[in-house]
Amino acid sequence: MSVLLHEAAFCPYDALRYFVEKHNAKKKQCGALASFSGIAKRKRTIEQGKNIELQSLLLDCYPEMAKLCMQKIIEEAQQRWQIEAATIQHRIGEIPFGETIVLVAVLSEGRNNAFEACRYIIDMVKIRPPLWKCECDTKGEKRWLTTTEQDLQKAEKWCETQAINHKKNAQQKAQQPR
Amino acid sequence: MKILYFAWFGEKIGKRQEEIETNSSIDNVDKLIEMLRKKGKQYEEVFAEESLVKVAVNKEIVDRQKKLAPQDEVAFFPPITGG
Repeated sequence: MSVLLHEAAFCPYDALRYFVEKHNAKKKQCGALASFSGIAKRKRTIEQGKNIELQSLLLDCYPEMAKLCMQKIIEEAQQRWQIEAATIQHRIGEIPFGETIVLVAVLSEGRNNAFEACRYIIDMVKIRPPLWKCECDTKGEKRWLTTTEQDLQKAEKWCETQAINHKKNAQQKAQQPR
Repeated sequence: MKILYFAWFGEKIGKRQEEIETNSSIDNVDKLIEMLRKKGKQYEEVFAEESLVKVAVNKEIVDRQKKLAPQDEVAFFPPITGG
């Protein structure tokens, strides 16, 4: 399990190759690799559906705390799904458009666990680690972003799923003959 | 005590980190904020809106009643916007 913060550009494909070689080269027991990468985009839709032209994206970070938080997210994913390995790699500082902001990858025996764990990890990375995005537009104006309702809803969905699963387990246990 | 400021807090205050001398009366986060507020207008602005001020002590999110020790690392920042 690994967490990395990159201050300079990193290649997600090299990172994936290294991740697979490190965790599956010997045992070759994993049949699934799921990954997500987020890329800095030039245009961003803001409220009222208006597009603004951006100059660059800046990501401020509390590095030591962010690493601890991301490790915790991976541990939670390991507890929920059977996975062989997971990595979160995040770019910080100034990010030119087209470059990778974040990479999440998960190796597991089958695809369901890999997909779900990967989705859980990126949904949590979008709201929990101490990271702050700032957009700088072509007029030189800076705008610190706030968490989107959409991101919060995606993360909350996992809490609901967990609550439903707990309920199901409790019901199943109660129904079991003693 | 080591104090850190992130995102626009750091920009507004004009520094990302500072060491401050505290006495035994500054024994929780709330009292530390009160003390910092008196340091100047830029601090007042940062700490003006309570719901926008998040605090971590030794890299853990805490509330304002959290007890403090002189060797603690206290970070102030606006709500996290994530990766």
